[in-house]
Amino acid sequence: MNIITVFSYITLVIIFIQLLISMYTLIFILNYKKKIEDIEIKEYPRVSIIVPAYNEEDNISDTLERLSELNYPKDKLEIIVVDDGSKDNTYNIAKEFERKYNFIKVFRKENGGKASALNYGIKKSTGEYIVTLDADSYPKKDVLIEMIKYFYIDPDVSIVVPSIQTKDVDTIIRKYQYVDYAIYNFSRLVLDQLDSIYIVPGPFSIFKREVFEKIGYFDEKNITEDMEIALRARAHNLKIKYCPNAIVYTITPKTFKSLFKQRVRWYLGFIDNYLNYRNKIKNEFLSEVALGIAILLKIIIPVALVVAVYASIYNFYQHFMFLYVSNFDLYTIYVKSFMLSDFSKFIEDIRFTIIRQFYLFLFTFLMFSMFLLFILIYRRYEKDHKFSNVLLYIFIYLLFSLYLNGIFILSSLYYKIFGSELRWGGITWRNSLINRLRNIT
Amino acid sequence: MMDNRSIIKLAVILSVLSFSLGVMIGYSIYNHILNKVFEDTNQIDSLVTSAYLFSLSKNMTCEKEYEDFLRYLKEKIAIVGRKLTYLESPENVFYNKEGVEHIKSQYFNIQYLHFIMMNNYIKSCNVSNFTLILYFYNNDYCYEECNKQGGVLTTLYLRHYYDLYIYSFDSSYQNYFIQYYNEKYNITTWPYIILIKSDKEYLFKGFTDLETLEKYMTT
Repeated sequence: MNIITVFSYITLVIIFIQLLISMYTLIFILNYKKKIEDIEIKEYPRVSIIVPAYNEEDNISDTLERLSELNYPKDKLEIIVVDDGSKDNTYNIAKEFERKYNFIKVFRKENGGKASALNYGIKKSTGEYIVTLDADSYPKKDVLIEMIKYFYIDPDVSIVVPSIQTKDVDTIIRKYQYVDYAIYNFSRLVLDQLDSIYIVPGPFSIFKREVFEKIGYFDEKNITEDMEIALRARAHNLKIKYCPNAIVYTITPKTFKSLFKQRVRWYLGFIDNYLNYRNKIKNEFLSEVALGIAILLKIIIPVALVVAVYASIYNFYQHFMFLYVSNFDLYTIYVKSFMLSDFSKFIEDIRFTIIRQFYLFLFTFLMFSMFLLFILIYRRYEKDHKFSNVLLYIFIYLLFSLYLNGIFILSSLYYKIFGSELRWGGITWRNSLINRLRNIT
Repeated sequence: MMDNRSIIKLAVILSVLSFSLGVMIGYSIYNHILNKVFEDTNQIDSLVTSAYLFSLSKNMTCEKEYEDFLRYLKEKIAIVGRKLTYLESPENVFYNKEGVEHIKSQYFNIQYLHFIMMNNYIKSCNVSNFTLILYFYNNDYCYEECNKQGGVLTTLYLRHYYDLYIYSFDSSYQNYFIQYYNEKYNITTWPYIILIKSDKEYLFKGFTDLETLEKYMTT
């Protein structure tokens, strides 16, 4: 069987998987009815917000300013900034806020990574509830009150996570991430219904203090400590809820290089944590459906990328060979062939192309419509951007998502197998297969 | 509100149904095109056959109209050729081998009839500016080389649109005249080109570049 034919069958399989995932999400959303539950809290609990910061002099002022404006009784609020050995002016800037507001405390420690800074802050804190907040993120004013309610509505809830949106959309990479984060928020909505949230993101997740007493602190050697602690909590049957109305803004990577670094870390962390916790989670929806789909996507995206790249190279090569054997006679190939085609032949060719590619057009139209529908529903929660701008972001996302995600996943797999050492912040990652083999031998 | 299991079941059912529907539509479209090409081929076949029979029954007419009619037939045949390329393209998961082979066989017959008419016209009317090319390929043995040769012939055809007629044949087909040529010219390597110009035949074994073919066309 010809390789092109094999790739055509693979494409059909990918189409079916994508159709299944989209269909599930669509039915879920159409069926989704938000439970309107409200509760009046008579006495607010004491909350500690831990802000780990490493070289965040550009963002820390803004974050602390926003935190000081939170709608929450200030006598019940404690903001702890942990400067993780920054080499810039982060500590001094934070200290100015400490002098200005009596509920802000600033500590400094040797660089040891985000998780170690979080643990340091948690140990210094006094709140019944602990909020983790990346220094490059800030919440809307009512977020804390909105999220705290979840613990009172359902006392079994141990962790509440917010909806994260991108702060800036100035570069193409950030416009792309706007849709990416919208999809993450969407998937959290679905995962929440399945009681299967498996990441407690850095920006403004709230923990009951007893969570750390029960399952321990953040894993300081883990490159995605937010996923690790969520899976650990799941392994201990702790309940995680998603609060879609709580909007937290985060500064996303501005360039491809920084996005690449972030996503490789995320995917490597996913692989490590999945391998570690796959047999420890009792929730079958999480272990089989949610994580199953996440793995499936991490398989089909690179396969789809390989198919797309092969098809592009194959077509380019065929066309290049045609030009080459024609001595690059561009006039004859493009101009003369157009002149020789009369209008009816031109129309006939277009008609034939549309008919023969009909099912691809139909599928593209179907997927695009579904995507648009998702975004329209998502806009119930996000109205900061004009719809025309959102359409542009969708276009950018659809254009690049396969290639970017494919590159990130394939690179992560490469590092997982052959990588010797990678560094993020204060953490060094050496958990590749080649290193394991070296250690065994 | 439906529970999660019901949503998953419904999603699987709807996905299978819509995917099957998509596959069926794709299959129907392919067969629709196959039937359309089959009809087109039949239509051109009867046109070419009647023109051929007419040319046998009368003395050859050397009028401009007849030459235009032959060119018109050439363009019609070329359209069928382009559609056949799609029907047998490797990315097509609905490939109907029997149907395509039947049309291809008929397509080669039509081309050959057209070639005979052109050849008779050139000889009877003493036309010297026309070049005829019989191009033999065999995808089982020369996929890349034959693809390249196809590119050369396409460019040649566009450059000399009004005085070049190219007829391409798959040597692996059992049509009588194809086998006849295979034996007569001992065609065992592909691409194989027979260029006919001013009553002379020039043979080219293997890939032949644009300049070489053009040189023989203009001598």
